[in-house]
Amino acid sequence: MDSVSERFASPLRSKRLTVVLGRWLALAFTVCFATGLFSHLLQDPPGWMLFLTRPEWLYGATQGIHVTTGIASIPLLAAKLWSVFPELLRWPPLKSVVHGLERASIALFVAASLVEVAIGLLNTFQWYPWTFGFKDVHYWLAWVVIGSLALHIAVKLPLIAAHWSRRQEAATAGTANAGTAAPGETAVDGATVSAAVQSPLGRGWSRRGFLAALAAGTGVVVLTMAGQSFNWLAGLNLFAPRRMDTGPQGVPVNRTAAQAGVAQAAMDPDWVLTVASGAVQKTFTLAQLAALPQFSYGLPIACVEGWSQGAQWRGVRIRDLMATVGAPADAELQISSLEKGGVYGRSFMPAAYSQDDQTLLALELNGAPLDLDHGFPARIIAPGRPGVLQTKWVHKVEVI
Amino acid sequence: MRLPVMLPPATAERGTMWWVRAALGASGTAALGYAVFGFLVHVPLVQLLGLAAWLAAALVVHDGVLVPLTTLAGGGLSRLTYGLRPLQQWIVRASLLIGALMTLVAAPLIRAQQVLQPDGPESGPNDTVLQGGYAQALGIFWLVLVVAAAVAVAAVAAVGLYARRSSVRKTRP
Repeated sequence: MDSVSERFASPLRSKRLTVVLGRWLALAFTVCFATGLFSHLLQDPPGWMLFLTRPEWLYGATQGIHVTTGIASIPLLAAKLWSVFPELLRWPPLKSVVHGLERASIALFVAASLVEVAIGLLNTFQWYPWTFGFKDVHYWLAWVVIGSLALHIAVKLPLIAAHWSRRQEAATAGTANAGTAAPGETAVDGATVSAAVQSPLGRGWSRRGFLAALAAGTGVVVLTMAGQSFNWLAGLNLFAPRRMDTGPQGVPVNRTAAQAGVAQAAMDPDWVLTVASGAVQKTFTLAQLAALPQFSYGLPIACVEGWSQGAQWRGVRIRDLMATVGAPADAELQISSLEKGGVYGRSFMPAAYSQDDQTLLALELNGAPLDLDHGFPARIIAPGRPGVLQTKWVHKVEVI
Repeated sequence: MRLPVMLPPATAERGTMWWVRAALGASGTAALGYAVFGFLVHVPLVQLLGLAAWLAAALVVHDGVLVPLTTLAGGGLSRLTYGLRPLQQWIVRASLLIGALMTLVAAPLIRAQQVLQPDGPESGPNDTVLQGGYAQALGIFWLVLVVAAAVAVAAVAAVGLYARRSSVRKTRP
């Protein structure tokens, strides 16, 4: 069976290559995890959560980085796993209980990483060919991935340190040849080191040649897809599921009125907005809302799926609206949509947003009344919040 | 008196490496434990079975199909490009790797377009998702890649030929 393993061996596959790829992938996974956790905390905030409303583009940037590093980790993960593939075929498959546990943890790590990046990518274009809920599974799998990553580094740290740089690797190989290294590693290390160092462009390709090609490939994938998140790359956007400046009023739509089943209720001429604080309750028609002081701000709408779009919004300040029913300054609000149920049906607005100057009940987008798909007659737009919380087709705002 | 020196340094001073590994191991185990707790509390059993199927399929497809295919392709490429200069071999391999990576990421978009739009069984009326002509873009991408690689390979050959000729000329008396 070891002959099978050897058949997959190549002078390119070496511990040094794996360590370099592992560094790149670990960095991508860590950034992806941190930005994903930030997005999760904004959507399901714990009591201690600090809400930042400036800069307005903060969430667009962190979520754009989240989706982009997720995309970048697809080539990096493929290369990393390719570099260690012969390990899978090592014989005997199980040497001891500890060895079995380590292999099981690696299998979990590999499977979780593959599924995590795959479902993350598919979610960016709202394709769900599976039987589980995306949000929960993506979140909990992220903990599996980051936990397995830490465990994997803990197990492999001596090897990682020995192959961290070429100089260290050469030193290790030197001592290995002197006969003090672990048995079984000596010959392999000695051979791969010289192969990698001595043949910069030998038969097939060298480590640096491979790494350069992988960096180029990852760069091409990122550059042709990140234009959905970062407008300075919009011109190169060939393969992203989203395009900037498209859709009704030049702004993409996450969920249409037809999908939400609200078209009829939203177009009803008898629509009124209910504003409530305790026992005090008021209703406003669209004309009455339009007669209140209007403010206009340029704010991005940034979706958890990674796309974002700057736009000019005009409407009533939420702060002013709540003052009409005597709501306290630190009021937390519940916003209800005409859409019933689901994650879009209602949202909660902490005081950091409800008190912000730029948080609007928007009636206009880019100089015209809101399109039905953008939440006509009225929607929430607040600085630095995930798009899923920018509730559309609002019919009630109340203090909780 | 030589015995203590021979013993593993269990009671000796623990180095930075030991502490880093212990911290990583402990936090990794804690994160995994948190994940297991989260899955059991927040995800219904039926969904967990669906996830388990995806995890297993990911291993089978990746380890059983994708990696063996790339290994075969790499071996075939070594034969095909035999006799080419190392730089030319690199250009061929790098172009194929870049093309393969782009295809890997773009393929789900193309498939999703077929399944989700315009009249698929799960078709949604949202036409601001999957707007691009991804199949066409991928075709053009490959075309540009192949042409660029061919030009680069030819340029390397031409430069090599020129260098050889001029060195030959210099050695003449």
